[in-house]
Amino acid sequence: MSGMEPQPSRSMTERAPSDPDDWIRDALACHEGPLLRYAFSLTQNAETAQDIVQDTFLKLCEQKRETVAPYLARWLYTVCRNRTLDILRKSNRMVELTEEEMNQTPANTPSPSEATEQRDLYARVLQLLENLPPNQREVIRLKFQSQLSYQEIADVTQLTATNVGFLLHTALKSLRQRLETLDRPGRTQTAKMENSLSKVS
Amino acid sequence: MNLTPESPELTALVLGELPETERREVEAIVSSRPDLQAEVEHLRTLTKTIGLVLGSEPAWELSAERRRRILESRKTPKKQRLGYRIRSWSAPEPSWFPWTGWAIGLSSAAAVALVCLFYWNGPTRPLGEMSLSNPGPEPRGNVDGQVKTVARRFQLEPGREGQTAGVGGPPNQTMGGARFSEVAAKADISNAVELLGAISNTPSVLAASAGAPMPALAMIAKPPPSETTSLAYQAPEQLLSGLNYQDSSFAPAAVLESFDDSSYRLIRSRILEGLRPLPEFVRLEEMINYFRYDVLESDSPGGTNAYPARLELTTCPWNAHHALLRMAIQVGDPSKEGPKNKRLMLAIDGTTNRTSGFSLEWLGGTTSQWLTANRGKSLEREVLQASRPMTRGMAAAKRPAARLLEEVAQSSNSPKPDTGLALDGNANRFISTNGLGVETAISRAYVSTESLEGTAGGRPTVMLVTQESLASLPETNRVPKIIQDGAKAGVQLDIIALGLNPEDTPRLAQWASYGNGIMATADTKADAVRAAEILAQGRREPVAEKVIAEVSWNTNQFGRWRALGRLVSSDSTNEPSASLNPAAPALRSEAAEFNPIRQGNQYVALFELSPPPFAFGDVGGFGGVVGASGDVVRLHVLATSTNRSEAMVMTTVEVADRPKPFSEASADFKFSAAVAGFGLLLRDTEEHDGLTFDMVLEMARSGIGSDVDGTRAELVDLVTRAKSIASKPSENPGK
Repeated sequence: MSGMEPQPSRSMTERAPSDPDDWIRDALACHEGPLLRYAFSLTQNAETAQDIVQDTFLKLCEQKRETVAPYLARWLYTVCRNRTLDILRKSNRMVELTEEEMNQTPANTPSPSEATEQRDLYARVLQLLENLPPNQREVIRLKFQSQLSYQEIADVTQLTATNVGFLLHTALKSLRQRLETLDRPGRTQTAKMENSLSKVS
Repeated sequence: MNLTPESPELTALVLGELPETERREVEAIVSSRPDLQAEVEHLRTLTKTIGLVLGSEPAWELSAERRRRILESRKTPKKQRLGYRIRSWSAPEPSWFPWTGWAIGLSSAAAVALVCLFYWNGPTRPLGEMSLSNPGPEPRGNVDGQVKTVARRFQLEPGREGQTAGVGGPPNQTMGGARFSEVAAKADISNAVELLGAISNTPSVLAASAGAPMPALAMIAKPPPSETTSLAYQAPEQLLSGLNYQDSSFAPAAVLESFDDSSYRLIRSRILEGLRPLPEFVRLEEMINYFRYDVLESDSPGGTNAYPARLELTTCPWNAHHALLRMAIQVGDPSKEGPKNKRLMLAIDGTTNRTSGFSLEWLGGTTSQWLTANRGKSLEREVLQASRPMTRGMAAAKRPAARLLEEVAQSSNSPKPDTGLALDGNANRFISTNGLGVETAISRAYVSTESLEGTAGGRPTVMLVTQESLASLPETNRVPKIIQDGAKAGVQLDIIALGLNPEDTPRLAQWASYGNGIMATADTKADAVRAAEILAQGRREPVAEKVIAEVSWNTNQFGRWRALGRLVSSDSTNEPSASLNPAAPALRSEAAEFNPIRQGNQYVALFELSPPPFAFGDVGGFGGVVGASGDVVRLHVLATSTNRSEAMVMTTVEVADRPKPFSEASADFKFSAAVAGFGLLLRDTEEHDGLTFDMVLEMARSGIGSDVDGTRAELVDLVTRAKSIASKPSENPGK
């Protein structure tokens, strides 16, 4: 796990900006991309994600640096998440899915035909990730993409650190089972993916 | 430690999330167990793969235009950004204590000028009317010193013109000769001004007087030593920026759980885990309003039936030179009128399973409590009168309530698996669901609920199911058909979940959302009971769109003040403003979401007051001259009804006595002061003077009262734990 050991979050998320006048610019450079991905993962809408992240940074501009700097990542993700949930609620996204929509919704396990069609390993793993329940998907992204710790994820999602650990554990377990379903034995599949991706990276 | 390949500790180990001691322990076990080693290797491979895949996603960026807007926004004055017109205020930030020689000199001059103006020009007008060109006749009232007012606006939607009357009051009711709406509607200044306070020298015309120059606001606005406490201490620009605080904290989190007592819940969670709560997450206002108070207590000094209110003034327990003022407002009496809609409350108990039996104690107790409270009769009598034969397989319940509940309890202990148990809103149908599938059981509860139209008085059918039963439902995103049908039939579905598997939360939230209800999750039984009680009261009929509370005090008695907890204006944002409505704390987000203020909502705030620097009587104390009216503190509650626009004075409460000793305060006062004190300590600022955890404990214990729901005892426990945690070094980075 040398290459992919989770990075200490503070090194990226909570570093103090060198130039006091440019701390917003620094924050943008550091968090813009991960926040956009995070917002998109929640909304599944690129334009809405842009709106949300823009709002988040506009709110950041109204804060005193010394107030938020020590917890910058947590602050940004919390605001981003709250804004996202509010937008989702206001747009009544939590409504019943019709039969037609149900059919279009990814099943819990991808069908064999879908799996064989998706030759790209990236896409296949991403597909599996996207098929996770929303809360599991969210903590996976916060952990692996945003490099937040259990406690930081807990602060952002209003869960306890124990819950976060449980969700991540369940998500990984679920992913592994689905990988095994795709190409038994799963260990071979996972190792194949790792080798392939290592070459790419 | 007993580890299996399924243990979450292995995941935490791979992700580097185990504390050092635990990590060593786990590693030692893993090294001796080949099966665990293999599992760890699989997890490492998998996490590496996920990291590579997610890390290789294409870079995302904001558009150039959006970046430009963000970076430019820093250069734009906040008042312009937010669209306010704020009277500029360039006074430097005065300090709270001590007063410098400059401040004393300037303040002396200003005070002399103020007194001269005051007696020369007669009543001053509130700040909100400074721009009115044709002020009306100026009523002159008793001149007993400046009275400062802070308007706490619960919901700041501008009133509509041209409509009349208000809730429960006569049309065109006036405040000192001028209708409040005339003042509020014409004032072109922002709500920040209202928050900062109107100044009038005539207490009886707080919001309606006009005509005199405005004394320097800087004299009364003292910034606190930190960014905590009251916004009203801050300069307008600071105030406006601070208004967005909630966007960064908890209010929107209520989307899933609908309970906006997040600050308290988070604090509790952290303390129970042995951690110090993060200071910026401590919201005094949310903490104080987490608890339910008895605003209707018999010795309440005032208030009307529609808006009972209570004011209490004592010496400040953590500063002998200060006073503490508590304002408590309730909208109506929740026991008088219940909701009319048909409701089903689904209580999911994740702490038990079907074979071990339901833990029905809390459900039975809760049901009994709200049935008794809502009807004012004993549950037994109620059931005897209302019971009638059941139909369609539902067991007859023609028996006393005690027997009924006993039967429920026996059933819960039966070895025969139950899917769920339900007691309908009239307490006349005990719905036995032995051996039924959960969907069928819920269907029966729905059938019962739907048939209650017009008869249940809004009380919900309460149905308890285990999480185990729930798991038998197919894992899809689809809302079960029975819930769809129920929603179409107008049945509101509220869900309380105790010890729920986090994976099930979104699905249940979706059900509640579809059922036009609320989803509440509880970590403890006490929370579940509390949620059940609040939800059982129901989403009552809205009675007001806007409520304003104005607290004013005689400036001969009090010089400076601060609110313990922020005052928030909804005009600053269109975000859900959970702190804006005087709602029952656990339902504040609901109230904010649906805007109207409903029966039974309540709001409590505390103010710390200091004596005036230039008291006309006993300098440095509260023995100053009391004016002709004798007022010391006054509270006006104004409301705008849901279907009309005019804000009316609904309640006026006054305190004519000087601060009484804290030891003579009511239990509610002592307890809310303890909560505020606890919050001040957790915020770790210097604003709490000589306050200690021991003092907080003493206050909390003396104010614990009957503590029906056990929440006050819980706070005592939390304070005790926090006291021991406080000795540990802070984990907060940068702190």
